[in-house]
Amino acid sequence: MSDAILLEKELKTLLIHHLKLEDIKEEDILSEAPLFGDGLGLDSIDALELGLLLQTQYGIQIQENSDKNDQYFSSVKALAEFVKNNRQK
Amino acid sequence: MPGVSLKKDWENWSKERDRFKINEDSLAPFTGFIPAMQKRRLSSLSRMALSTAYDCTKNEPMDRLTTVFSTHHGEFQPTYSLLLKAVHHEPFSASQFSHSVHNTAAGQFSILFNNRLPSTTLCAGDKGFSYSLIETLGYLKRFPGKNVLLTHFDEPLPPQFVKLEQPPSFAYSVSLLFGLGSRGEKLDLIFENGTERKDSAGNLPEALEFISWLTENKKHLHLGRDRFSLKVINKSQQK
Repeated sequence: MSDAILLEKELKTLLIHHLKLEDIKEEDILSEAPLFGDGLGLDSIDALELGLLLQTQYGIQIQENSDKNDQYFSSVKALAEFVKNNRQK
Repeated sequence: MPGVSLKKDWENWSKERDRFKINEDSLAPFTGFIPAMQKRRLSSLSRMALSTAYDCTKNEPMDRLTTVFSTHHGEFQPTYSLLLKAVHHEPFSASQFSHSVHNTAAGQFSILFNNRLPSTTLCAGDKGFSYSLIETLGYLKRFPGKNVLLTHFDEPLPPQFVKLEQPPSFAYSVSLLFGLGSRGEKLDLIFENGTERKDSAGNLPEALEFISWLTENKKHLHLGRDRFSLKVINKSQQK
């Protein structure tokens, strides 16, 4: 399994645990599906939780009001790419 | 209360409440009516309050229902967990923070059932249930034609706080539906400002004293153990 896939799997497990997605399993989350709105159905509070998760887990500080945040948070695949390029730990 | 939900359960509990052993694991409150994405952020306290509120109102028209919620300690567990994070300089969880307010259950109830009518959440120490009855009466008079859903709920505190307060030793939630119509039990409320009473029914929370009284088909009930007390008379009962 490639590093990219492993990181995506890791992120899915973290999302389920931290956002308390009680009835969802890792394999239910599609890497390309949108995280917010139609896809997984996350909301603005989840966005803040996600920011916190990136900070505690990978040492990444999210910039507030950055236009690029939407892009980084658009799917698990995009998030994994973002983590890979910016992680401090 | 865990494992006590139907009228029959309450009657059994009331009959042998000194000996009644509560099994906290026996029955988690039924929350199947709450969508998973909403439920995931709810504390055990809010789940319990919403569960009894739902049981009490599932056949009621929501556009004719105002609500009074009442809890002594409220969302203490999430608040305590946030305070510990503050002490250790750890970042707060937005989800926990947003649900750690006293009226969490009221807010979630209004979202869940699309109920936009007035709602109050009280905190009046261990007299919360008495005061919530007064608030309920106020709502009934102020919004004629609307029934009032009263939900009073509490749960035990972390061990460090037990000495400061007198928390319940078990989690409980009571929901009651009040109206000015002719259905159900007919109650009178009388406020008394007199001397301290010593004939209290032990350490039972007021709301459970009330339920116990209802199941025993008695006419009179005194709530409150100090100068302020509330007398409840069930006019449907003879003695």
